[in-house]
Amino acid sequence: MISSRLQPESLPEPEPGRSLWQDARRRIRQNPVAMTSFLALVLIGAFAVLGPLLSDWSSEDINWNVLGNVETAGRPALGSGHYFGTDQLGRDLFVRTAHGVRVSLMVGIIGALIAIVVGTLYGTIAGYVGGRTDNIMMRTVDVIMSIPYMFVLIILLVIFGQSMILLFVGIGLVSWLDMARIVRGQTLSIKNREFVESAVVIGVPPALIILRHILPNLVGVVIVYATLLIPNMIIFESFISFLGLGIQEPNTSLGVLISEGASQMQYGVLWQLGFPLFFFIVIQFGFFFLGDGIRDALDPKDRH
Amino acid sequence: MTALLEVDNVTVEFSLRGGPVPGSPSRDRFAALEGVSLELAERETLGIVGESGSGKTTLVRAIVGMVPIQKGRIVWKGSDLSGTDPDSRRRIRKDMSMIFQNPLASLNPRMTIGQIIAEPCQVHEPHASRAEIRRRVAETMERVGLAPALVNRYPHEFSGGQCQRVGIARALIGRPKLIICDEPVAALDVSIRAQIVNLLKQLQDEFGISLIMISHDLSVIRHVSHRIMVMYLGHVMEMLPSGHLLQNSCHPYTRALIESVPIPDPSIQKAREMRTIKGELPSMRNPPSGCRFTTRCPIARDRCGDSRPALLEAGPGHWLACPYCDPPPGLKTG
Ligand SMILES: Nc1ncnc2c1ncn2[C@@H]1O[C@H](COP(=O)(O)OP(=O)(O)OP(=O)(O)O)[C@@H](O)[C@H]1O
Ligand code: SF4
Ligand SMILES: [Mg+2]
Repeated sequence: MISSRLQPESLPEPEPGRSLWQDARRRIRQNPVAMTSFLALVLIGAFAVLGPLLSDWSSEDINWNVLGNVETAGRPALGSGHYFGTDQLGRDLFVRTAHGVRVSLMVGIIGALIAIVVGTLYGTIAGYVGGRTDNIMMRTVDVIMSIPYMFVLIILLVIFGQSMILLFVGIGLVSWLDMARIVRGQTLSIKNREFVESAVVIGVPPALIILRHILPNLVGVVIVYATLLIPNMIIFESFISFLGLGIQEPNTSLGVLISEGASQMQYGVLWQLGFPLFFFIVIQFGFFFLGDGIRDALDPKDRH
Repeated sequence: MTALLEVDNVTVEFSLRGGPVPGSPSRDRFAALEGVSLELAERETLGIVGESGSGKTTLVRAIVGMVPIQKGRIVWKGSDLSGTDPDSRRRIRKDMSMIFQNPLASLNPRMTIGQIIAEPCQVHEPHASRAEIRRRVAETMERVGLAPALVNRYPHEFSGGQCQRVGIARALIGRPKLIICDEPVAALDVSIRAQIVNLLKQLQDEFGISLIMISHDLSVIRHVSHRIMVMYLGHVMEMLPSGHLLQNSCHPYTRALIESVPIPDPSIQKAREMRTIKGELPSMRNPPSGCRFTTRCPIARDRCGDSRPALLEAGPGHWLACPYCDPPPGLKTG
């Protein structure tokens, strides 16, 4: 038997290890594109939350002095307090843009969270259990995917009236499908790796194998995909809002603002399109490059 | 000596489309292992050799219960494993552990060395305190030649040889009766192989463990094993005490294996991959009938393809599945 001459007190101080997460964090800090994107997103987030505090206006206040004369009086100017100008109804666009960014980010993040929770759970179970369960679960995903959900959602919105809840239900229904597929594929390949096999031989119960051996090795893929999913969800919402079916007054989103701005383009009020579009584009590219950076950082072998 | 493990006439079939499918029709299946029997005593080392695809891994996976067996029995200390309830099977699992070929791949990259080594303890001894587990991890690490201060390191910070020591520590910490090593040194640098093999041998002596050692490398097998089992395409060809391998082995396949590797000078300990024997290795999915070695056997005759030669006792502890081979040069008459 192993002698018990080693007592806990006599153990030497353990040397700190360098986990793969720490490695990844160090690598991403050295990636200027990803860090710039991250900084831009943080600034935009701060603008969305704190921006309204910098203005005397609220997103619903109408500046009656501007109304009817938006092209000149509603121009972006520091002196008037309308930093981004006003919209066609004389409402302050700075505050409304902050509001829109907030709603759009929320839509994107909620969509991504649903995908993370439902998609990861669904995909890991299908992949790990395998066999007939896997077959049934993945065929179900195929079937749901084959439904033209945009069409269905639009019909639902027309029938039940526009509501934020319905919009979130719609986003929740579609966002997890791809995630479930990706996670299942990853689970299948991790399941066949030797360290999972060795856990099976040891007799680790299946739930613990998923929790301890499969999920931690999936997290990277899930984070990358979720980061790339956020802008997709924002586009999804914008598209519906662009059709006039999404977020409704007095709420607003980037999609609504862009849609309104686009409809006013010919009246010489381009800033009404320009500001929301600028934030929309920066958010899109920001998440895209950040996701890409995270992927590189987690899997340096892929980098060329 | 009492038999610790008994494998009795075991057959394992896989579906041709991949994976074990017990219910599929027989034409869609092939036997990766057919009628294989062996016995393992306590404190004994059994070496298994054979070309790639001969079913070595399948055999040990059947023993630890990772692939279902179609026929036969696996008996552990007198109790049939297929008949035992999951609870006692888990207790038996505690008594068996396994070391894998690829040391880094067999360690979860997200866990620290300490967490990896402690896992069998946590699973099988849920009442052990954290301090107790930590102490045992440290002891075991020290025993396999790893500094206990490395507990919080991650596998990717280690070399192949160190990773294999971690694998050995994990296999050892539950104080098993049997450790199965599936090509434990094949993926390692030649210079490290001897260290790992000697470590396994020392641990066996010290703790009285039985070992099943799979290797392509005849010299490694000869060095560590008490007995050697030669497999070819899912059949056992010959089984004999390892000291008799060079002198007394008789099966044409065994002889071919030996001749394909000039046994290296033990002082050099240079291990070379076994070269394949003349002729194509037939597909496992469509094996020759009768003796499976017929297509490549230099002394094959017509009758060899008719029926499978039985594994018969050819001498003390020497089992042979070829009725036609010449008596080995070193076999004593009488
Ligand atoms: N899960 C499986 N599904 C289908 N076929 C399998 C499976 N596992 C192994 N086989 C097949 O069974 C045969 C024996 O494989 P096995 O891995 O046992 O050979 P081996 O002797 O360990 O070879 P190696 O020296 O290459 O490790 C091979 O033909 C292999 O393709
Ligand atoms: S039984 Fe026949 S084919 Fe098989 S090894 Fe012996 S001689 Fe060769
Ligand atoms: Mg193998």
